[in-house]
Amino acid sequence: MAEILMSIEHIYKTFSVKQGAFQKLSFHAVNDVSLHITQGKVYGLVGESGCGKSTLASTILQLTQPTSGRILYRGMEVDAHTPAAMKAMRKDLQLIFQDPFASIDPKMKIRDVVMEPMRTHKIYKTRQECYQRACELMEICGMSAADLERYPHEFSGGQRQRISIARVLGMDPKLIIADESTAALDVSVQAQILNLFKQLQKDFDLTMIFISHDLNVIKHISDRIIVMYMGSVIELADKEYAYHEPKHPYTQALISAVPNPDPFQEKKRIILSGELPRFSNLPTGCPFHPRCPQCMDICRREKPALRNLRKGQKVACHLYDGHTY
Amino acid sequence: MSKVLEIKNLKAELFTPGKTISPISGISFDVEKGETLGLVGESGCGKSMTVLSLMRLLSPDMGRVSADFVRLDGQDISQFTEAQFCKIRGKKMSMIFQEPMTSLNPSLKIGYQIAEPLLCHDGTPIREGMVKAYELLRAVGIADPERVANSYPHNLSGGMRQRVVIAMAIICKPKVLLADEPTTALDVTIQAQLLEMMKTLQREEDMGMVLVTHDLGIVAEYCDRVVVMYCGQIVEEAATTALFALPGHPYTKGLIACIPKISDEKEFLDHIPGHVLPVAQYESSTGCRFAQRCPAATPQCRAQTPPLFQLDVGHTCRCWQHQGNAIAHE
Repeated sequence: MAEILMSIEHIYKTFSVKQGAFQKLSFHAVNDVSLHITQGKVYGLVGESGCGKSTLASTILQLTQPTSGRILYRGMEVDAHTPAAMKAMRKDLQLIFQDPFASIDPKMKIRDVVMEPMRTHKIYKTRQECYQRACELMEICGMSAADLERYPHEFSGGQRQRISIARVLGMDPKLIIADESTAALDVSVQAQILNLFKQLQKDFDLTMIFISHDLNVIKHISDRIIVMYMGSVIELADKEYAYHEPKHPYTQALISAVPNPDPFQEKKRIILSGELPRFSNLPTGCPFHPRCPQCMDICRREKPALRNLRKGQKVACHLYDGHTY
Repeated sequence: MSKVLEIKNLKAELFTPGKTISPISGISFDVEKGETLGLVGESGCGKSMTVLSLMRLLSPDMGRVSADFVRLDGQDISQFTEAQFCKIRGKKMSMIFQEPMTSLNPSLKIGYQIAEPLLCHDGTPIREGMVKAYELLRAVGIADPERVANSYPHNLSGGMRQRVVIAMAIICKPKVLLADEPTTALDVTIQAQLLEMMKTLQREEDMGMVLVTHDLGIVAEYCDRVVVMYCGQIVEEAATTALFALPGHPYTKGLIACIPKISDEKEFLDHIPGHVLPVAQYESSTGCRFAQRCPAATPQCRAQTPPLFQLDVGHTCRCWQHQGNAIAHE
């Protein structure tokens, strides 16, 4: 049994917005999410925009504090109030951003961009060692050591994303969260970066959470798929189950909606009616029921819990009440 | 079938400080009635420039557009003055932009914005215009048109706004609709809804459509024919099925191979090395513009610019690999 790197237990994140002068409206951007992140696995987190993917990610990274719930890192509760412990944990958990143009300081040389976090965390004793490591990292990520002396504007989007990856790898991270890291890239460049992620994952046995709205990308890179809808995890399954036997009607619709780049394959398309509800007037019961093609009475009243369907597949849907495989 | 849009040798020049660059050089294609033509390529290859030039949306101090001819419904519009062009822009040919927020006016109500082309072009009274706007809102799948027509763009979600933009583009029943990445900013489930809806509307009106996209999945499912662009040129043109079955150009092959597919179990993806050249580099270079990134480049590719070769009926390809075939009339 592989080691559990991180456990997330019943996490809620509540935001409140002002409604007029006196009223406040609060809603759960992340609503009772529990996950176990296993060492060496790649998780794909999917869902439509506004479903809480990025909020969940920043809660895992402790960039925002959860309203309630616990996060255990290697079995220990993370205490956000001791700066030293936080700093050590921050080193282990790294984030790669979506926009490679906004995530690198244009005034810094690439050597400083790559070396800065290593210096902050005092990973190497001398500058020389640090520089050598930076050179290695650049080569691992398909760039050359000479690129360290250049400035960010000299690089294309794909190259910048490689630099971001090199910067993160310097920390020897235990968990990398990639938040839409290939969304800003062209398909051919995206393929290069995805291959790089895959190679690195193999070489360094990385644990990753890959956030994307592109199900083709998620399928390619992940081992387990987490599907979110309106702040809740509605399906959590191994890749094969999620793509070949998705159980939740939303997962089914999501997968059928992906345009298939093969004109010769027969398609079954489930077109969902309606749009995402707003968080401010979340429907009662199952949050998906107004759009669900298989909505039942109970769905309007009761919110389904995430239940084990079989080994490797959990689903939150009343359709499977009482089902076991 | 009759051709609703014929373009021959469309060129655009942009004035940049110091020199003039030409991001698209000699684009020719046709669109038939009721047909969807996909325009694909990576960013920076001139897809959007092509549709912007067609709509003459480059201001005169920004750039210049020229063409041998652009026939819209049999009429050559390339020599039109600006005043003449204003009469057909939005009426016979209209456009949908990628970003629905920036293409709507935030200070006007939705209903008025949809009816506006009708008021301008046909002089329809506002009351009739609004009735028509309600009708169209219903046609684009909005359940309560009266409420939506009375709201402002910021009240609507991205998907709703894009529906509004589509309604606005088709209110005058255009012959040709140019859609520049209409669903790129949207989620997949909404994207599927909108594309299905656009297909239905297109069938009803027998409209020609040019769909600019970088997503080959969308091309495979919604386009009848495809034009692949690279560095301001057309490198391949074919019926969708032919393009996916027998891609002729190494660039097309690369594009198809590098998309991750749900049905596919490949460990590593194929990829095209390098990236699209900046305009200033490719416009002056000799030889094939793809030669630098091409896995099958020969010395001939670097020295001579390939013409479009005719591979099959309706299938042309700009690559020296096919030089046994006849040269297509450009």
